[in-house]
Amino acid sequence: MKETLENIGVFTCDCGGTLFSQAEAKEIAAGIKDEGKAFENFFHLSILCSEDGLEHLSRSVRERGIKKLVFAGCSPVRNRNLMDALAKETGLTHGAVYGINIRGKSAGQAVSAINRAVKALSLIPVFQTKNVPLAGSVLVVGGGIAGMQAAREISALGHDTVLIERSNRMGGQIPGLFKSTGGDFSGAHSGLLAEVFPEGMMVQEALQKALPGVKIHTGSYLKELAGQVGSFKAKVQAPDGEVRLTCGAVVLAPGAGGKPEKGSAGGPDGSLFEHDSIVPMSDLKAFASGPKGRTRIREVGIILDLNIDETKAGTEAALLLARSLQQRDRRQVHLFCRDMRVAASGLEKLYAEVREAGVNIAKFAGKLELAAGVEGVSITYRDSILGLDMTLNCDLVGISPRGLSAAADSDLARLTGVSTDELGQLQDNNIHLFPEQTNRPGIFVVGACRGRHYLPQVIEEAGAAALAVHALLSEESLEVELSGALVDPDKCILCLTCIRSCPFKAMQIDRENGAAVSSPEACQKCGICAGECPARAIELPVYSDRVLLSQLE
Amino acid sequence: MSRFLVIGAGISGCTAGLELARLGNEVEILEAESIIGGKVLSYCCKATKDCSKCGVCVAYTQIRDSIQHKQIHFTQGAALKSVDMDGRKIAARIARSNPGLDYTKCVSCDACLKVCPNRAISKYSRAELVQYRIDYSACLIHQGKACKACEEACPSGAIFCGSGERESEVTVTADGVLITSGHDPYDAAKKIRFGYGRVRNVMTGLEVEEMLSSRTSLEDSPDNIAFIQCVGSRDPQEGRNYCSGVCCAYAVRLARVLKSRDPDMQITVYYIDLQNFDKTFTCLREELDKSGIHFVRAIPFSIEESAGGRLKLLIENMDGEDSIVLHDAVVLSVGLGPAAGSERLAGLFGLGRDEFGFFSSEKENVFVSGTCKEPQSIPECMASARATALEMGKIGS
Repeated sequence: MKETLENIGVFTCDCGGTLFSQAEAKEIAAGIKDEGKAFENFFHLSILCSEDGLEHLSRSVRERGIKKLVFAGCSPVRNRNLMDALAKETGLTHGAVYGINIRGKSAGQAVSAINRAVKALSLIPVFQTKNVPLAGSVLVVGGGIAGMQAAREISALGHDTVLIERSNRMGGQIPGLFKSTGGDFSGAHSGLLAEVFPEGMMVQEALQKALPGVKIHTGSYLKELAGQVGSFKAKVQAPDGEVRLTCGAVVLAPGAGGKPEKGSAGGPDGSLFEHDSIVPMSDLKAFASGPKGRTRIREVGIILDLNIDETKAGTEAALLLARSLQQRDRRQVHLFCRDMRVAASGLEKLYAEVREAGVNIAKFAGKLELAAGVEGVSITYRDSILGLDMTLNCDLVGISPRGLSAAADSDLARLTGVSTDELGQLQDNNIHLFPEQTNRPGIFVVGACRGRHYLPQVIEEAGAAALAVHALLSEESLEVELSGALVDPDKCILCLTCIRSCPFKAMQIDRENGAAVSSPEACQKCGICAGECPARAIELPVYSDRVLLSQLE
Repeated sequence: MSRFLVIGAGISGCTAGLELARLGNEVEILEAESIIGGKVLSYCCKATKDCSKCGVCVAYTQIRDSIQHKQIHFTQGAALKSVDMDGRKIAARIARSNPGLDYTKCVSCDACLKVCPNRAISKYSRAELVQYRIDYSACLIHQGKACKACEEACPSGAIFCGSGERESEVTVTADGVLITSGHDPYDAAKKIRFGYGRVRNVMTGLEVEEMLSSRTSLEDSPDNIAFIQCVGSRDPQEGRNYCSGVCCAYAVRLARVLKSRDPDMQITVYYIDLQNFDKTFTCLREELDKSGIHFVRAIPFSIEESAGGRLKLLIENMDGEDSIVLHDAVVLSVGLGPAAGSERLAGLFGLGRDEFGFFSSEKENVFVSGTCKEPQSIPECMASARATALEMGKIGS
């Protein structure tokens, strides 16, 4: 026992006399010495978290050669910052600092809690740390406004930035949005958008000026992404061959609508658009007012919320389009939606103007049916204001692409290991992560791929993502404690269960050892692999069976 | 390195302050209240069997991290006296109330609270965030008496009473200012027809938040409850012709919490349009259709107390006939408007405001973020504050 305890220090803190009295302090000290027998390194401090307290503690750690320490005082959860400071000041790793809360405990209870902690700590190895070098460059996937804004900010913060765009042109939905709304949408005339797309068309010289230092590859897509945070290895398929990149972080901004499909103009449900009278919303303006001999078109329908609920951005675009068709092109417009999403500055007013202009607003409940025939399209729905079943005929119908699908590129989700939500959008819906974070450390998401379409908001979130990338890469290297999931190669049966169940893509196969191995920079120590492993080959050293058993009285 | 002044320590001010500090700047944050965090402190977690993504818990961690950050200095009970904007630097004269409390030193031991002779100090504790609220009107210093009990009892030197005066004046110079003065909820009593403040069991959504966050059930445990949306939002007659955006979110989330705690509770939501407030809103809407929560597209005209103590809601139908529906309790989903002091702030810094009173312009070194600019949810406030911090980081240095 003596050997294992020698390098353990116990520090109690009475929080300036508010946790326990001096008499109790003595009782605790006596109790610990009594139980620990050969136990030498016991210190009592009054305010451990003060600068003086921390200095005293780290001096003791150095002088006595303490390798692990138990700190008994107030709640370690509430004082996570203190635990960080403790580890930093003493040079010990997080796994070597064991905090316990003795507020409100009697001296006897405090002693047994401290002794249990000492027992646990004696069974926990001293972890090594590994310095993961951080590659300074950043890969941004997607040349829409979200990707461009993120690339611009990341580059401005001093990181080498490479932006890849699958199609041959930059700007994503922007040109289409200009075409259908006449450029009146929120965010159209400020910042990056105003600089690069002054009239809705991209100005090439402006692009280079707006994104200084950003290397742009159009017609290129991500083929493979290996590695972990700090040094992702990306293979990019560019028009003139494969490009290999090592990057510290990746920002995904591929937009919504999956991979662009032929003839569907962004909508994956191509079959709806087989009929001439049903077109994507972005093409409605051209069809309704264009010269294609379509003078017969009088009644025009715009349909939102068909399958997926519209965002305020799509609603704004639809309202602008409806107003323009009604007022300038003299068509009768029927705007169908479940609910009018007006939760953005100026939208309520626009909605009122659209009604005043004579646009018929139909709010439907349940399912809306479309039947295309020679006479145009008949739309059958239940009107949720009137409470009646209705049928309305339109000569031409435009459908919001969002209403068909919200899903992002599923190939990209698969090859980056970023989780998707129920609608197929990138990033699982988890508030404990910041909006731009994903299940994979070092991979961030911005824009329509995560369901954000409203430009002022997309631009803000791209900025926030740039800050997150910067916070990650501003150090030279990332120090990780090697206390993650530990695989016993002799027991591992290579069943791949851990690889499938790890939410963070931290498990991989080590071919040399013929066993699974966890990557320390990605492992979040959640224990799912240890729980799932059928061969019981995986253990979290901090929560090993031996440690847990030692805690039972 | 630059120095920034942030006005308002709500979730926007704390988040922006934290990012500015992480970018290496010095940050001074002013807060009128004695406690840091603003409105979010009285909101509750709205998880049922799963997280409903309201953002309250993340806000708590942001606030905790900001009050413990060494490069951020908070001034509680602060009042902005005057601003001098000549030249590149901004100089602000600030009055701060005594006693002051420094959370980089506070060890949350409760010593101050225990010794205060007038019980002016109370504890705020939620998840990983612990703070002390000081009721200045009860504090002896503010009553003109000499008292240093809390300062003397504090083991870590976190509380300071000054030299016995109520207020100390300081001047802060900064390279840039961020205004995050937040919002005020709509005063539901203004809608006389709804009887708020007059009729029993008519309450606001914020009161429900507070009741649920202190873990008690609703008063009078109603069996049949109604939410009325758009109270003080989308209302041209009130001069508030805008959508507050957040009320659909909190009402639906609170309704889910109530329903999951008591599956027999009858819940009706009266609304105009349900806003899409969640990334997977379509799935949520489908879930709500099956949940037994009734959605009625109508806003009741008035609420009266009936003879049996129940509440009588008058609803106009499309065919012109009125119908009466009975509920036990009504929750008014009040909207957001600019905070009371925003007019004065606009004057001090020369900023414009829109027709509703929200800030509508910024200056080279004066920025605006959060709900004083437009109604926003907690996650939206955080994203917006971080983006603003990024912009601010570009000036000065």
